[in-house]
Amino acid sequence: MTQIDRKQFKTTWSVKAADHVSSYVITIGGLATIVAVLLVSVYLFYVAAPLMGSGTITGEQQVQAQVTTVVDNSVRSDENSLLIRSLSEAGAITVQRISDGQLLMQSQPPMAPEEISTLWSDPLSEQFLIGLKDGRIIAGRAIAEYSIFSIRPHDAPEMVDGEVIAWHDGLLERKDAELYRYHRVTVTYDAPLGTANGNEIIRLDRIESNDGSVMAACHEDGSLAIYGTNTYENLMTGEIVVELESTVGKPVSIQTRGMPTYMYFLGQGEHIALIWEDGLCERYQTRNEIRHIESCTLIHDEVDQAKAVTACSLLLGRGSLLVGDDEGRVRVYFLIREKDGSTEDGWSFRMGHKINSASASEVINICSSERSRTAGILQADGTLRTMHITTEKEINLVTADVSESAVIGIGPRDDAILCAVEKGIHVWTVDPGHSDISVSALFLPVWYESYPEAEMVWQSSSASDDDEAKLGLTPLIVGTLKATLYSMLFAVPIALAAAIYTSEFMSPRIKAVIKPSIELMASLPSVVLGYFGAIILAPYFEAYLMEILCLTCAVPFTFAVGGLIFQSLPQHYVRLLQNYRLFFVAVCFAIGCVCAVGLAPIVTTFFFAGNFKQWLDGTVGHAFGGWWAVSIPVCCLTLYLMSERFVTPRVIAMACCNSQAKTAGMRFVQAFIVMIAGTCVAAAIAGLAVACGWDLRGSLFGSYESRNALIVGLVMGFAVIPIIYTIAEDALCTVPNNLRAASLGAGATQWQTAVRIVIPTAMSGIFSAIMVGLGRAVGETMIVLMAAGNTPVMDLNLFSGFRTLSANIAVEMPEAVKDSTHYRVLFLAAFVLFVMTFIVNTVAESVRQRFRKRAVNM
Amino acid sequence: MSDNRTEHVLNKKERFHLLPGLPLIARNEPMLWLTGGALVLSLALIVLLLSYIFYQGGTSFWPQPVEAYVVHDGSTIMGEQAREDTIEVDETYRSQLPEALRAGVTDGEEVERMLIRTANFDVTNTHFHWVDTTELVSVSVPPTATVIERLSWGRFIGTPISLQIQEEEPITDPTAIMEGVDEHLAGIHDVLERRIHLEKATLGEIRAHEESARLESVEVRLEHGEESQHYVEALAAYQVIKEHCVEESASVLAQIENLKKETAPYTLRMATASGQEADIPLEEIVRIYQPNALSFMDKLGLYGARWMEFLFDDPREANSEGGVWPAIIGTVMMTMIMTIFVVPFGVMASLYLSEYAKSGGLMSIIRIAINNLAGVPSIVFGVFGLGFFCTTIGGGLDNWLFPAEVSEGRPVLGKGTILWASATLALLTVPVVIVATEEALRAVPNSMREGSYGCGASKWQTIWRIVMPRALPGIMTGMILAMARGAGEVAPLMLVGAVKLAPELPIDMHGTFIHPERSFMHLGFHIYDLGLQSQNSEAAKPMVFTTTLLLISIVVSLNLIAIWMRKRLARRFVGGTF
Repeated sequence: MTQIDRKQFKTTWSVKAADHVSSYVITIGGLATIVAVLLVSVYLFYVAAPLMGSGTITGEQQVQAQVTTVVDNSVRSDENSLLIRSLSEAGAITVQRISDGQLLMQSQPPMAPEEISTLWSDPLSEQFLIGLKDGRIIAGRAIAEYSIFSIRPHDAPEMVDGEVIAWHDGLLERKDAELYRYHRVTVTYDAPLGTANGNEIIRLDRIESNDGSVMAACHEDGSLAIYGTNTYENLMTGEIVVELESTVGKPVSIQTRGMPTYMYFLGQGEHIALIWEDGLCERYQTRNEIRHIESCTLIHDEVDQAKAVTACSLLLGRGSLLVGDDEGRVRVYFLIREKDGSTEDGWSFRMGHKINSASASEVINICSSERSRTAGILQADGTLRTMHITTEKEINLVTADVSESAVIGIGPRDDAILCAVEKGIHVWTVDPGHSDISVSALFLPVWYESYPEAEMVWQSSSASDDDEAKLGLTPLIVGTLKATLYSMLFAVPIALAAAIYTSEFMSPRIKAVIKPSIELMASLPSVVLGYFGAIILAPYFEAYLMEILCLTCAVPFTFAVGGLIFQSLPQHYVRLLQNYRLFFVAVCFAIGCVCAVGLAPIVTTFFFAGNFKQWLDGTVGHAFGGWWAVSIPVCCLTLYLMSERFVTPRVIAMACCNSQAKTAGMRFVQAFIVMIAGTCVAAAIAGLAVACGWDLRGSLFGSYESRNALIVGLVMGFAVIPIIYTIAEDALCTVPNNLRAASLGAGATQWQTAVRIVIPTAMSGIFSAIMVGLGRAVGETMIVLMAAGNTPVMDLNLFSGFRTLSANIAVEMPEAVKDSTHYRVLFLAAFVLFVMTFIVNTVAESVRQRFRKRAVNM
Repeated sequence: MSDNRTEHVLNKKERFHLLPGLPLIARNEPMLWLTGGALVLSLALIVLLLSYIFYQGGTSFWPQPVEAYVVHDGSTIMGEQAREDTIEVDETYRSQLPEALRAGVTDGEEVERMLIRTANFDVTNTHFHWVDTTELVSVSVPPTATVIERLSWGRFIGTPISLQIQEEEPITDPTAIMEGVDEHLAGIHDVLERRIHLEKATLGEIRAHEESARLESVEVRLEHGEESQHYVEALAAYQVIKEHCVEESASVLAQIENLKKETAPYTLRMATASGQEADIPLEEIVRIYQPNALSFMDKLGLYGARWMEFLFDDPREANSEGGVWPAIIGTVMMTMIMTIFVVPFGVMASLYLSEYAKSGGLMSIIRIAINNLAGVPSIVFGVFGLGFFCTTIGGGLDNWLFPAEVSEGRPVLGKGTILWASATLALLTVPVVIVATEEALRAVPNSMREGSYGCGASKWQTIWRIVMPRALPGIMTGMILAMARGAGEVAPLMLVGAVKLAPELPIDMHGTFIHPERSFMHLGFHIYDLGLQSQNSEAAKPMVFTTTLLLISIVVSLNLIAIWMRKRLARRFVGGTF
C-alpha cells in the first residue's frame, strides 16, 4: 500500500529528464543566440583589425656576393621570390638563387667595362641603360619570367611536387605532375645607339611614352638632350636601322655648376628634374623645347636644413620625388599645378611629406616599389625601413651591416626587401600587410600625390594603376551626419508635436485609428521610400523648389494664424468647434499650400534676383537676399519666443481686465509686431553678415543637384517620424493620469498641463525617442543609396548630394575583392557605423530604463 | 484683515469668470494648432504616398487608348500617353523648333508637352517621344490601332496589314486579321509552352544529370589522383552517361525543331504610324488587342489577364515586362527559411532570459545589448553575412562538401545564396522576436506559474503547458513582425544573394526540391534594380509601381495582422488575474 503511494508521488524519470534536457537546451540555445548576435560586432572588428597592423618579417636569407658593387635600383627579385638579379658596374646582369645564393647566370655585356661611362637602372621597371664614353647608349632589360611545361622536360631529373632545382640558367619548379615552371631572367642588350653629341654620357633617364621610349641624357660637355628612337628601313640594303634623334628641340646647356647627381623624368615625361648634391634642383620643361623653368632647393624647409642630398628616387607613376639628406630625413616632393603659380608654366615643387628618422645618420639609398607608394630607406647606421609614403606609415624595419655603396630594393609584390652590400645580398621576405592604411589616414587629412594640400578623400577605385586608392572615411562620416542632421531637422519637430497632440488633445476614439496608421508608416520598406524620393519627388523638387521651401514657412504660419483667428471667435463657438479642430487645421494646411505657391514667385524675385537656381550657382543676385530670406523665419521665431517671455506677462496682466475679444485682438497685434520686427532684425542681420563678407552660398547653400540633402531629409524624415512618434507617444501616455487630473483640477488649461506637467515628466522618454530615431537615420541605407546621388563630397550644402557610410558599403561591397585593403576598409566602415548606432542606442536605452523606473515610482 | 483677503481672492475669481481674456492666453490656441498641424502633415504625407502608389500601381495595367498625333511636319506619332509636362521657352528651345513655328512662342512662356510611349523599339530605336503642343496639328483615336505585347523587343504599336498563315493567300481585311490571330494564337501558345517545357525542363534535367556525373568524376580525381584506377573507372562511367545524355538531348532537340517548324509559318505584318512595315511572327506575340475598340468589360478582362501575368509569369525584357513570379517565390522562400531560423532561437533566447536566467547586472547588460541590436543598421548585418556566412562558413563547407565545384572556381555555398540571406535576416530580426516574446511571457501572470508549481508540475511542464500556450499569440506577433521586417528589407540582401535575374528558382521539381544554394530574386531588390539601375527607367515605371504595390500590400497586411493580434492579446489578459 505505502509502496504504491510512494510511486504515485514520485516524479517519473521522463518528467525529470525532460526538465533537465529542456533547461540545458534552452540555456545553451538562448545563450548561443545572444552570443551569435553579439558576434556581429566582434567579427566586423576581427576582419577590419589587420588594417592597423604593420608588416611582418617572415624570413631572412643571405646571398653570397658575385660582384662587389651593384648599380642603384638594380637589385630586384622575381614575383615568386626565387631569383635575385643585379646589375654590376661592368654592365653585366648577375642572376642568383635566393635560397642558397647559387649563381645561375651572368650575362655577357656587348662592351668592355672601360668603355662604360654611366649605368642607369629604372627604379620602376626592368629596363636599364648603359651610357658609353663615345656618347652612345645601350638599352637593355632583364625580365624575370617563367615558362610552363605540362610534362617534365627530358633533360630534367625526376622531381617531387614543390621541388625547385637549378636547371639551365634558371630554376625548374614542379607544381604537380602536369605543371612545371621554368623561372629565369631573360637579359637582352640592344645594339648601341649613337647620339649626335659624341661626348661622354654622364646621366641617363628613360620613360615610356605613347610614341615609344624617350631618353634624356646629360653629356660631359654640359648639354642636356632628349632622344627618341627612330626606326626606319635602309632602302639600299633593306636593313632595319634604329637611330637616336633629338625629339624635343635642341639640347640645352646646363653647365653652370658641374654635373647633376640625379636626373629624372617626372609625370608623363613633360618635366625633367636635375638634382645636385647640395640640394639644388632645376626643373626643365620638355613640351616643345627643353626649357629651364625653376630652380629650388630640396633639402631646406622651415624647420630643418641639411647639407647634402645623399639619395634620391621616384615613386610609382613618377609623380613624387624622394630626396634623402645627410641627416636621415627623406622629403617627398610633389609637382603641383596651381592656378596662380609662381612659375612660368604654373607647376612647382611642393613638399608633401617629410619622413624623419630617429637617428640622424645619413640616408644612403632609397628604392621604391613597383606596385604601391612604398619606399625603402637605408641609413648609414644600418636601419632599413620600408615606409608607405602617402600615409607615412612604417611597414617594416630591419637592420644590416652596410657601407656607402649599399643598394636596396623591394620585391615586385612588396613581399621582399633586398639589400646589396659588398659581401652579398641580404634578402628579407616580408608580409607588407595593409601598408596604405593607418588610423590617421582613415580619419584625418592626407596629402595625396598631385593634390595641392592635405585632404580627406574617398576614392576607392582609380582610373589608372598608377593612381592610389584614397580611403578616407571622413567624407562618408560627414555624409552620414549630413543626412542625419537634415532628416532629424525635419522629423523631430513634426513627430514630437504630433505625439503631443495625439496623447494630450485627442479623443481616444480618433487616437485608436490614427496611431496605428502612423505606426504603419514605419513598416513601409525603405526601398519604396527611396524610389519615391529619387524618381518621383526629385523632378517635382527641381521644378517647384521655391514653392516647397516656402511651404516650410507658410504652412506653420497659417497654422498659427488659424489658431489666432480661432481663439478670437466667441467663446460659445470655440467650445462647440474645438472637437473638430483637426479638420480646421487640415483646411489651414491646404490654405498654407496655396499661400506657398502664391508666395514663391514673389520670394524669388524679391530675394533671389528672379531665378533661385542661378542664385544658388552664384551667377546672379547678391548674398544679402539669401541671408535675409533665411533670417526672417529664424528671427520671427526667436522674437516670438522672447515676446512670450517678456511681453506676454504684460498682456496677461492687461487681460485680467479685458474682454476675450479684446485680448484676442491684442494677441493678434503682438504677433503682427513680432513679424514686422522679425523682418527688420533679419534685414539687419543679413546686412551684418554681408558686411562681414559671408555668403550662405558655399556653406549651407550651393549649386542645386537633382539628388540632394533636401529630398533625403524629407524622405528619411518620413521613415523616422513614425519611430519617434510611437516611442514619444508611449512615453507621454505612461505619465500617470493623476498628475494630469491634479493639474487640470488646479485650474491649468490642457495646454499648460501638457507643457508644464506632462512633457517635463516624460522628457527622458522623449529624449530616448529622438535617440532611437537618430540611430535609424544614421544607418538607413536604401533611401540614401537611391536619393542622395552618392558623390563623396564634404559639405553641408542643402542642395547637393553626398555619400553615407551605409550607401558606400552597399555600392562598393559587391565589387570589393575578398581580404583586400578595400574589403577590410569597408568592414571597418560597417564597424564605424555599428559603433555610431551603438552609442546612440545605448544612450537611448539607458535613459529609457531610467525613465521606466521613474514612471513606475510615480 | 483676513476677511479682506478672502474677499479680494473671491473678487479675482469672479473677474476670471467674467473676463475670459486670461484663459484664452492660457489655452494657447496657436501652439495647439501647430502641434495639430504636425499631425495633419504626417497623416497627409502617408495618405499622399500610399494613394500615389495605389493609384499608379493600380492603373498601370489598365489599357490606355492609343492616340495618333499629327505634328507640324506632317509625320504621325502613335502611342499611349505616358505623362504630361510643361517646359519653359528659351533660346535653346526656340532654336530646336522648325522655322515656321518660332514666331508662335515667346520667351518665358510655358509650353505643354506630352510623353508618348511609341514602343516599336526594334524599328525606331526609341521607346518614347515628346510631343509639344506648339507643333501639334491634330489628335485622333484610330480604331484599328493595335497594341502587341511581344516576347522580345517590348511592345509594338501599329496597324495590321496582313496575316500570313502557312502557304495560304495572306488575309488583308482588318477584322479578318484580328479574328485570324485570335483563332490561331491559342494553339501557337500551346505549342510554345510545350517547346519551352522541353527546352527548360527536359533539356535542363538532362544537362543537370550529365553535370552531376562529371562532377562526380572530378571528385574522384581530386580524391584519388589523376592516374588512379578509381578515376579511370569514374571517367568511363561518366563517358557512358555523357553519351547517353547526348543521345537524349539530340532527340529532344529534334522535337524542339519540329515544334519550331509548326509555329514558324504564322506571320503578322504590321505598319507603324510612320508607314514602316514589320513582320511579327505569331509565336512572338503574348497578347494582341485594339485598345480603342475595347469595351469596358474587355478592358477589365485585359486588366485581369495582365495582373495574372504579373503575378505568375517570368520577367521579360530586362525585367521591365512580364511578371515577378520568381521574385515573389524568392521573397516568400527567403522569409520562410528566415522564420524557421529565427523563431526557435528567438523563443529560446527569450525563454532563457525571462524564465531561466537569474536577474542581475549581466542580465541588464544583455537586455540593453539586445534592444540595441534592434537598432543596428541592416547593412551592417549584410556586411557580417557576407563575411561570416558566405565567405567563412560557406567557403568552409564548400571545401569540405563540394571540392569538385570549388576546384573549377564555382563555389556552391561560398557565395550569396538564399540560405545565407535568410540566416542574415534571421540575425537581423531576432531582436524583434525576442522583444515580442519576452513581452508576451511577462504578460502571463505569475500566479499561473505558481499555481502550476503548486500542483507539482516541473519547470518544463509549467513552461510547456501553462506559459507557452498563453504566450503563443505574442510569439506569433513577434514572428509576423519579423516576417514583415524581413520581407521589406533590401540593403543586406544586396550583399548576400539577391540578384536582378535568377535563372533558376530556389524551389522546383528537381533533385531536393528546395535549393538553398541558389541566388534568388527579391521584390524589394527588384524595385531598386528596376527603378534605378535599369537602362530605361521610364519604361520600367509601371512595373516598379506594381511591384511596389505588391510589396507594400504584403508588408502592410503582415503588420496589420500583427497589430490585430497584439490587440487581441491585450484584451485577453485584461483582468485575467486569478
